[in-house]
Amino acid sequence: MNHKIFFTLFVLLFSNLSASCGFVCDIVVDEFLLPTFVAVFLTLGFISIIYMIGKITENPRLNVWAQAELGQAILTVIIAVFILGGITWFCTEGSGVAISAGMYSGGSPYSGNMYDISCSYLSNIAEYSNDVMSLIRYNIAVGNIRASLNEFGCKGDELHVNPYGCAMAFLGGPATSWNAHASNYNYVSLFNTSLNIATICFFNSLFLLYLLQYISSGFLYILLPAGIIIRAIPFLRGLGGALIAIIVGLFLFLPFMLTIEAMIWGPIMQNWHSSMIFPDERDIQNDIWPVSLEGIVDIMDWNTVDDFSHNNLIDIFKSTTHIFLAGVFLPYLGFIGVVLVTKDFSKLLGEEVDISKLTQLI
Amino acid sequence: MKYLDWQNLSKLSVFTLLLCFSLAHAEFLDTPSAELASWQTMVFIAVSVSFSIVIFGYIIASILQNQHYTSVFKDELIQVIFTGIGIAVLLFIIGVFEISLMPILNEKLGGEELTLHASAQTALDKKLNRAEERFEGIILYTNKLAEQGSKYASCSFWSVGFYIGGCSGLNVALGPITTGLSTLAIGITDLYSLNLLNQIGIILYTFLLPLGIFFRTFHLTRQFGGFLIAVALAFGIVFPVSVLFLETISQDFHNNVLGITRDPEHITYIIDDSDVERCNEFNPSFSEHIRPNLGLGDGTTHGTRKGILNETTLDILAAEIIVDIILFTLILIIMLLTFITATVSFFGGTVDLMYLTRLSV
Repeated sequence: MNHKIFFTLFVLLFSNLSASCGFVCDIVVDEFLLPTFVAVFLTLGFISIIYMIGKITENPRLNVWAQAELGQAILTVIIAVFILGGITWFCTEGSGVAISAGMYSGGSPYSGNMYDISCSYLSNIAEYSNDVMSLIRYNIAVGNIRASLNEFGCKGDELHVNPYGCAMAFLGGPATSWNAHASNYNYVSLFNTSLNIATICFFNSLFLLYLLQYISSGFLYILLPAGIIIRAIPFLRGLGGALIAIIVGLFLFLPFMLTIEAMIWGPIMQNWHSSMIFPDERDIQNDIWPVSLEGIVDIMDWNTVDDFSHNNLIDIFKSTTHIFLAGVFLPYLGFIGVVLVTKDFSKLLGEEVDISKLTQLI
Repeated sequence: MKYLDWQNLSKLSVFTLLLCFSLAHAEFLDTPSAELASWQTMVFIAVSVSFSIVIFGYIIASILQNQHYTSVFKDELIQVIFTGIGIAVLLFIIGVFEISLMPILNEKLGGEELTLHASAQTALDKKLNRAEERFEGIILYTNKLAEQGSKYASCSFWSVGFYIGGCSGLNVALGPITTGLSTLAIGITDLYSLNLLNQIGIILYTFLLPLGIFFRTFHLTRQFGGFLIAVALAFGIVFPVSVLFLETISQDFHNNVLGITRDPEHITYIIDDSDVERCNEFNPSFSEHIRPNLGLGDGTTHGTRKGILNETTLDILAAEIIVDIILFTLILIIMLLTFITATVSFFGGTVDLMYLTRLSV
């Protein structure tokens, strides 16, 4: 009797949720609600048919099976309601800011719902990574060009002077050649390491961004209804449960963790990025950009420019560190949380999915 | 099991709330900025909300006279009490640490009276500055070495002539120097990461600890909540504490084992500065100096000329990079990961340590 009351209650709740999808975000909730709703009724219809067959054939095993499955179907509906409720809340304008509103009053650079915030944050990280990559590439190009510069003449310094080269410049004779920026070849190898890290951060941010967009565009339409139906089939309960658990993890907890990260790390990244100085064709600041673009054309100017200072190099390393923490370290720290939730849900809905081992396949 | 009856649970709940309320007003681990809410208050609110949700669930189950769910919510209440008391005990240990051990650590590190995070920040800043100074020294040296090594002497008349890299022997030092530079660059990146993580540690604490307590209330998100609590405690507490302990060990190592000065000018990097500057591309005999500087044990060297290569001078740099940066970061990461794994299992979950370490690669 209690099961029936609960079941009716949750179906009503489910219907209410499907009616309230008008104010949700870009994710087209009403498009997946119908298949989900159909899947729930198909599952219930399937169980009812089995129950009726059991009654007609007077087979008690079928009746017991149908009654047990009804409990599982109710559990599935509860989870589906939970998912829909979560999505509705996550899609509500300002839900992302609401999470941090009580904790942080400094004003977040992001606004909107959690999916908007997550996407904006990941787009920004990808953009920052791209900027750092451009910065490093510029330095590699400059370093390579400068390192290839050879000068000829009388190399004079306090220790030895070669006056012959100068005196006999037109006719020949002894002379010296030297490369004032030869060390730049060595620095290029350091820049290459940073460029590799920046590239990984760039692709990782894009991976997470497209993953988020992928799951918010078509993931739910197929996997949630499929999970609900498959879960009703006894031998495939583990698979169905895993599909629903993956949706809970990726659709609810991934944007949740990214929103938290955006609130904590977003302002730091924005301040850092606004302090970055990029090369300008007209006004290149010599302390960071020793060679102007005009300088590349006017080779003789290179004699007067300073070499790379340690600050140029350290700035590059620090920029790489910023994007590495934002693009790789923190998202995957959050990802571990998502894995734990998915494991818990899959255990409840069927059998535990060892996602940590599965992800090693990637 | 009489301690688990409803009356005793109510008493325990009130006791836990009072405990957390007291800790919410304790004066340690202050928030770093006015924009950030007091994390202690947030923790208290999270514990209170968790209690409210469980008690509300219990009331509903009682109204419906459902024994199963009444029992479930009772179990959940035990979990919330467990979380509250667990957090309170941890915060109490932190308080004791901050009050009793911080003065000793500050004195040992030669700093002023600072809080846990500020002291760790100072130690990391010093470490980073030291690494940057070393880096600057190597860069200046490399610039000079590479330029001198690139010098060629030539003699020509019209289109006939020759040229020779009289100083190119100096380039033999560039390989190891570049390797040292790359290692130091990775070290600076590591130290800067630690620096940033220490800065956001208290913010993580303010965000993740209350959320962890909240999520731990529910059966389905218990592991997730435990993980958030573990991460918050790891970065908020264990991280700065480990930094301070490791820094004291590092200082002891430098003072007692190496017994060297940290002045960058005392490092010569294989070929001494003055030898680099003495190179004359028109004097091929200079290349004869490029041979191992093997001592005879009596203070003299082989042959009549002194060799300019001195591999032993890299010792200081290697020791500093290995102990100050690589070993420091490695031990810190291991401590954090081990703590997270242990704390998550303490709060009722499991985290695959191997999976975490794969992320750090």
